[in-house]
Amino acid sequence: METTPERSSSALEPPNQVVALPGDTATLSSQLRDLIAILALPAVWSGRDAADIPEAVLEALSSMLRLDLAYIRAADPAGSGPVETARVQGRPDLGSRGREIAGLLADGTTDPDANQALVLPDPATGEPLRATRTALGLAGHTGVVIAASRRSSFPTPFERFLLQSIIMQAEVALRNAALMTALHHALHCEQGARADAEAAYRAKDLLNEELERRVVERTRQLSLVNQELRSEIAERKRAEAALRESEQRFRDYAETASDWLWETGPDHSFTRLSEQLTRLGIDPAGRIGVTRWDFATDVEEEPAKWRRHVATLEANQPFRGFVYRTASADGSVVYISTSGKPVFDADGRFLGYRGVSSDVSAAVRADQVERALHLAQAELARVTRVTTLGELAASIAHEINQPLAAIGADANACLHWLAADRPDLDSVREALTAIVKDGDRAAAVITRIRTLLARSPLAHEPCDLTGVIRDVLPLVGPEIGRHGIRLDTSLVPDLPPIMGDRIQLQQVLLNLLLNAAEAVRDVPPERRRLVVRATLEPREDGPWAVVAVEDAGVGFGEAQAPRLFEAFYTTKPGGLGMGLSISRSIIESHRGRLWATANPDHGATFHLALPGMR
Amino acid sequence: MSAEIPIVFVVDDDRSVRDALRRLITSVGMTVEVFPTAQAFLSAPRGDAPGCLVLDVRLPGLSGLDLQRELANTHATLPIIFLTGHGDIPMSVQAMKAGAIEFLTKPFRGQDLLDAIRHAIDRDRAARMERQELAELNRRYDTLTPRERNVMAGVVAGLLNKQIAAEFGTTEATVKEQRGQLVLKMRAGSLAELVRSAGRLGIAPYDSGGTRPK
Repeated sequence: METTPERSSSALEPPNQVVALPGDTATLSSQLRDLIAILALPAVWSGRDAADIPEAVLEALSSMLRLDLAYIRAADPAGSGPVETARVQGRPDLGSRGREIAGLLADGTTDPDANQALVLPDPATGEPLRATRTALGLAGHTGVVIAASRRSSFPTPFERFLLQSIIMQAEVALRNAALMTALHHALHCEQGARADAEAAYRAKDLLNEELERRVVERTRQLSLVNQELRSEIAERKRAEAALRESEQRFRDYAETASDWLWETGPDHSFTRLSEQLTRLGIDPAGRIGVTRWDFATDVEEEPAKWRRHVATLEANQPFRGFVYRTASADGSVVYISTSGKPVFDADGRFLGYRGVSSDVSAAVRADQVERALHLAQAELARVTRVTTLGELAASIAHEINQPLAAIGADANACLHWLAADRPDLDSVREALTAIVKDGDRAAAVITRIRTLLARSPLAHEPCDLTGVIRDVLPLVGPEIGRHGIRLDTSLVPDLPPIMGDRIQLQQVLLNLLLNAAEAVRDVPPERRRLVVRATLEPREDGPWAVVAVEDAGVGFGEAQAPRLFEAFYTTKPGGLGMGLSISRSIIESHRGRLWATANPDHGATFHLALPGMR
Repeated sequence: MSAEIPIVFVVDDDRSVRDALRRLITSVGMTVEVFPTAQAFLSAPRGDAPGCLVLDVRLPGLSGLDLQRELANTHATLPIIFLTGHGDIPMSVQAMKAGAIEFLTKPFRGQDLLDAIRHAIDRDRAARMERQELAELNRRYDTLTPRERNVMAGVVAGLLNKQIAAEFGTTEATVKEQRGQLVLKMRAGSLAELVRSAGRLGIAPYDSGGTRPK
């Protein structure tokens, strides 16, 4: 930069020289355009890379001065070796051969005293060229420009002026470029640092991205592994199940194998027993020579079973799955299931039995538990039935006591009459007739109650539901009458017969009627009314018999509705809460339905629907 | 009056029981009237003879206990024997408290019912006699003058004629004369009988505020 003032003065030299201006306006305007173009050069070059500027300078020189050769050597602003480039008219191929050309121009390019006219041979043709040599920068330190032309007039004063101007511009451009390069370099360093930081950041980001990617990848792998694990577990489970199954199968085989074989003689005493029997803690040897019923422990309890078994044996018939009880050596109870077939010799003589036995204690015990459960349920149902009847006790007692009281009174009256001197035989006859009638009446009540209390449930048989209703109405009649309740019936004549247990159905109806009677007992007299309706309802699967017991009593609330048929749910102070629950189970065991609806005005209606017999 | 033939009323809704009771009661020579409902019994005219009521507790419409209450309200004193189809303890307690003679559970022994009926009739007869005697005493007491009633109160309180005379500010001779009159009117054979009659009539013995502190 310190060189600038000097160079400036040098650069200002040409304007101080006299420039002959052309006489015609056309040439003048052409020259003006060239000058304007030169002024525009920095703008054209601005922003270009420093290395590109020599090329741009040659371009401008060649076009404006119509040169046959142009050469430039410039120090690289970046500091490396000088850039040399040349342009030869008509030989663009020589552009890249600046050094060769420089060699040809050796004199002109090395001479420190430049800025003089000289003659150079044309690198392409060898023709002599008139050339100018101009230094770039201070004392040519930054470079040199050679311009040559075949024209003998070259360089005209104006061409020299243009050349100088262009080179000045080139110097400015090159300086700017150098400056720019330096700046760029400085910036580049800073940018480099920044770039490093950015790179670090980016690396970090990349790292993160990588991590993320790896996490995703790992997750994917894990889930794959998980899937594999799962399928492996499933597979293992399948394998285990298969194993269990096969174990079970083996166990079954083993248990089958644990069955023991036996043989008995013509007198049915054991002659041979296989060793498996020892597994039950029974010594096979101890059983030889004795019969099955000698060591069975249920002979006295179940004589009928044993009578049948012995009869089978005596008839030499095969038997299968005969179960009996015995005891093992330690006294524990063992149930044995045995099957056998008779053996005959060639002459058809009975030799005894051969067969197989197995320990069925577990199955029998499970069966006993189940049976006990069933019995308990049946007993509960029976108890409830009895309890319901207990609630009926007043009515029943009344039913029996009335005729008994009458019988007692009449019999006493008869004794009084017969004790008289002249007995009033007509009165005695009248009283005795009444006694017979009341006796029959009491017996009828007893019979009805006995059927109701019957312990063993009867098998389902064809039933006429109307008949069942008629059975029950007299039982509730007194209870209903005593509370001033009116009972209306509406029974269609063609109700389909149903399959059922008459006693159980009576029980259900009795329960519904007593509930209804209780519901209306404390309501105003005009509402103390029950209606029993029996109707036929055609359904998809044939006709159904539907009985509805309707009352105008206290009814049930919405909250109670879903619980009505629950066991142990009751709204009555002394109720067990079993009535409706058992009623429903009875009806459902008849493939029927039992449900309740609230009446629009007062009370409730219980509906009982049973499928007709097919 | 006691010579009147007693009558037994039976109310039972069960026809065979009703008829059997009618036969049993007539077989021992008593008169019986039977009714199927309480209303029928109440609306039937009843004579003034001694008797009793054999009543079923559970009756359609008006119940046995309702009828008992109804009779008590009309000051009818007919003794009641309750019959029930089953031993209903709270009901029997209620019935006995309300004055029932007997509470029999069906089936009852015929003799027990007849004994109860006889007992009830005796009770009714005695009660009737009691009521008639009281009515006679009241009739006699009504004939006494106010002064004679005062003297009677003094006599049953155990005061001497002299004391009575002092209490009422009269002479001993006058008291003596009035005393003779009232004993005659009350037909009392002795002082003891007069005192008993006063007791039955509910006459308070004279309380001389001057001689005894209140």
